[in-house]
Amino acid sequence: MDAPHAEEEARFWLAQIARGDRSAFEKLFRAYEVRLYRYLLSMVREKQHAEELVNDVMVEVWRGAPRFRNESKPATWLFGIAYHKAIDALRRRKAPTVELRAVASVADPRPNPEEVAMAEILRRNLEAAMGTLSPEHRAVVELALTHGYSYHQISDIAGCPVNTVKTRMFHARRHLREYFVRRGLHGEAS
Amino acid sequence: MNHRTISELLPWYVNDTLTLEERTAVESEIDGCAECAADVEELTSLRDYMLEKDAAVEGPSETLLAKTLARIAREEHAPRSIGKMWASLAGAGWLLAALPAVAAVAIVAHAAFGPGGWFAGPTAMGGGATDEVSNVQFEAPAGPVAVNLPATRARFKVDTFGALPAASGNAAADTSARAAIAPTAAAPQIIRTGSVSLLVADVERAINATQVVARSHGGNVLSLSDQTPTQPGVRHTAQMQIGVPQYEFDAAMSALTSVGGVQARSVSAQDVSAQIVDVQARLNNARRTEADLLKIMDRQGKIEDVLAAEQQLAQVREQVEELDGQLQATKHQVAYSTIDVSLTDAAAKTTTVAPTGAQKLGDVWQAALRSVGGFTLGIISSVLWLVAYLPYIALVAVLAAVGWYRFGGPKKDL
Repeated sequence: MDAPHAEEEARFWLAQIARGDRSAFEKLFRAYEVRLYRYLLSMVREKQHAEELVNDVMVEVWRGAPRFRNESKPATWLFGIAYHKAIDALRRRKAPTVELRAVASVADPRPNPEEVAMAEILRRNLEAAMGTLSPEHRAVVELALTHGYSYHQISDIAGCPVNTVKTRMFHARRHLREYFVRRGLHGEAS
Repeated sequence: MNHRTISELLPWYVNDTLTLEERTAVESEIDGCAECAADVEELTSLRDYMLEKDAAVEGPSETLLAKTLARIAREEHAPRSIGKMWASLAGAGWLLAALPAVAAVAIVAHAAFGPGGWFAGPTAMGGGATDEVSNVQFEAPAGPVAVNLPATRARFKVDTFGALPAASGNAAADTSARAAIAPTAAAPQIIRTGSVSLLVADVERAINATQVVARSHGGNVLSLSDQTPTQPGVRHTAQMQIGVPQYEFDAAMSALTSVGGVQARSVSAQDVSAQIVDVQARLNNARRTEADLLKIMDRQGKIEDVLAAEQQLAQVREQVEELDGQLQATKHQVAYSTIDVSLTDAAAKTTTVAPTGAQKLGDVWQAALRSVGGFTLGIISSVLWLVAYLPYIALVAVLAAVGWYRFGGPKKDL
């Protein structure tokens, strides 16, 4: 999340972008590209696709900067655009990606005495488990646990009521737990 | 809060974004509920894994910004599709603004030509039907708008009963709001500069007053040169340059006149619209070239080709930075006007210093030299005058000699 001065800086850049200032756009891009990319990568799970979505988000920012209202935080606004781009992209996908199937094949619970190997198995299982969540549920988990957003902020980003955010998180947790239980890994992660 | 409510808050307890009240409630529940404590442990573990996974992710490619800029430049230069224009029109609110006008026309038309309407023909009166279609036209500030209406032959001018002016007003307000945030291509880009020469009672105070004027108009002092005199009879002067936002330029010029008596004042303006458009176009071209080179580099090819592309890319990027800097500097000059202020003390320095003996002797010697020089010059001048008038003097002398010889000279005895 943004520090107060970073947030003010981002507000200033957005005002400049609304006036067609490319250098302000470049600064905003540099400030947020990694965070947006990581979020989008966690959602679509393909590097190339995530970069394309960052590209889409930032073009949208360039076009839509005059519409930015100061009521919301710049980061929330940017992640809101990214959220909808990712959801749209995932809805267009009909089948899980090859990457996801490959990960799932590694997810067989095999007894491994090495802690590192176990951690790797859990990590891969986690990726696979996250891949089985709906885009909306996955987004809530990523935004809360990886990006540290509050449920109010996620509500703004996703454009849905706070209670919906909490319910999505609740169901996502239950789904992940069931996934690990089915593979005999529940308890290993903690 | 009940168990379910607390349980729903646990992920945000783990990411530390709860309010103090929520946090206290959660901690109280964790202390007494093993299930919640286990959930927190599980969520913490999940978060740690996710953060670890996130940290291991490499950043996006270096060319991502260049690709995005190239795409923006392409889209800005591409002809607008009907769909985009429609979306833009709807986004601008013009359609919404026009709706009342269309609705008003429909109501008026219905009232006029519908059953029982003002101009209802035979149909309304129970006569024969008319299915012909013609136009109703009303004059609007934005030009006449024609609407097809059934059951009328005549061409009428229909009053919009204020609906259209309201719509036009909305559109105008929207347009002006947009103009305020985005400069139009037609808006002239003008660099304004001014200069003021002021006669002041006290230069030091005038410097402070000028600083206050600059700051109170959103600007600042850009330079100051203060020449304090060391010799008597020399005036105290100072030159300042202040910068103010363009929209404060006139007010700042006016305020400066209160600092002292105005001796001279001038304002100049330089239109740099063409220059900005030119630099912007060159910058866009350079950015397109940069994007193209990046595409070439993305392709797999020979190392020499990649190196050559990389070299060209470095040159193009240098050009982009140079043009961007030039553009920003010009825009800054447009946005920020400068005013040169010249301050002169109204009274010359009058403090006298008692001369020493050596200075007195020196002054006497200088005076003597000046006197000798003047005397010598006087003699030389007199000689030159005599030489110049010599022919006349000679003529007068000859005439005098002849006269004296004939009339007044000594008579010879006969």
